[in-house]
Amino acid sequence: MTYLSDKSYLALKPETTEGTPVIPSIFCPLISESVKTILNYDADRRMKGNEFKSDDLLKGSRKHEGDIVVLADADNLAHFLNMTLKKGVSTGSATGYTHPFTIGDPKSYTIEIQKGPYAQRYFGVKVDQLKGEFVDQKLQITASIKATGQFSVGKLNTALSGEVTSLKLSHDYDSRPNSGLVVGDIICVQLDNGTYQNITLTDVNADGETVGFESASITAASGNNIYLKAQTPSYTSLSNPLLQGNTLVGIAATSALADTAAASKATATPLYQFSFVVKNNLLDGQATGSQSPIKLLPQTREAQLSIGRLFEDVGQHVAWLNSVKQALTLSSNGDVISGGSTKENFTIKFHKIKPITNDEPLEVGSLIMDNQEMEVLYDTADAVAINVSIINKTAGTSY
Amino acid sequence: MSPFFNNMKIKNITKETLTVPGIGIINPGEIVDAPEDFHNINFEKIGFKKELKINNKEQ
Repeated sequence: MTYLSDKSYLALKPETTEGTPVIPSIFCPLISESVKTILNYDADRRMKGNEFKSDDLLKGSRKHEGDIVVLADADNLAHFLNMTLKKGVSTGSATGYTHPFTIGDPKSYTIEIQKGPYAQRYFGVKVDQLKGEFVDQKLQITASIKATGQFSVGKLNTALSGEVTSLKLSHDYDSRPNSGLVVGDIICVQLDNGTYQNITLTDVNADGETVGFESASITAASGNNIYLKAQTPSYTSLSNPLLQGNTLVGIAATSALADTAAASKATATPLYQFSFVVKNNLLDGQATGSQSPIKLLPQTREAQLSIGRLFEDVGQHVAWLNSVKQALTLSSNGDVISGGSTKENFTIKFHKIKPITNDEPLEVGSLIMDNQEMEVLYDTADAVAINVSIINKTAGTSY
Repeated sequence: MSPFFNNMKIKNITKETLTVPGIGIINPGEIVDAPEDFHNINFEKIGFKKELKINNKEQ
């Protein structure tokens, strides 16, 4: 049997308690993903009397990480920002909610990615690095995530026969193999005749290995496969991706002036290339108490911008040579929110930026550009480095 | 007549109108027919036999 990637889904949901999985219910169309568990297998090199290198593999430090790529709309972008930054108090109504974000501890999420029949679930998920760039007009987000655990597939630890109300998972992957499962999940158990039986979980036991369910007749041998059943995706009315053409960028000496400049096309600076990256530099080191990272802790935050604009005067060359402070405000409008006249909006403000590089390459027949790599700095005058605001149709309780 | 070979119905238990591939648009509280394999946390299964179903291999 073969499976088409297009039929897969990304589902996500904020966790009430960090690192405690929930069943994700918000579905988001994917462009691509590369999230995986890294087991760091090493050859067992203990001297056992063999002349061949090794007779087995041993697990090392375990991590869960990778990239998720989506087209950003005002609804899904807010979830990825919620995994990256600290959300403030949401305001507004169904015709337009405003969600502020700033540097601070993000929420952790449980996410699921469908792989054929099974769901690959990660929990304790936070964004290590969030990159946004306009690709063929559309704002594309690449979220480099990390997680504190996963559940996807496993094996039956002890045989089942007749009417049973619980089963134990094998410890081959982890000493607490039921971690990541949630009451209400459906797991599929391979029967001895090769078919799979759906079981809805009514209990995920604190012993770390047992799951409970309503009485069922199951005949399955120890070692038979088990997997977390993938959901059927359901989508709320999807907003259109944010577009470069509906975006205005203001660049000025201060953030207040940049806001003013970004308010109209006449004063905004046309950018031919723009990308930003915000980094949490998450600590996912090993600690006692878990074979996976026990927590994901943001360390020093940082951000960079990449900008391409027409070279029209010496201003940016001076700014680079003389390390001149600038501020940048990007405001991108989306769809009109149903029931009113408010437009979805994504505004990100970088209160202090300075060019690290400012290239003005010459090519025959081409206009000269200012291609800049900017470092985002903490602005001591404004007492902030980055401010983000999202206006969308999703209530703050969803975050 | 149900397009699916079973009697399972599902109810949208969210406050959102949801689009489900292969089924269509389902309003909040609306009950529709669904395939036997349907599984989504945003829906409640109605008229689903309590006994556990057996799949044909991996779906």
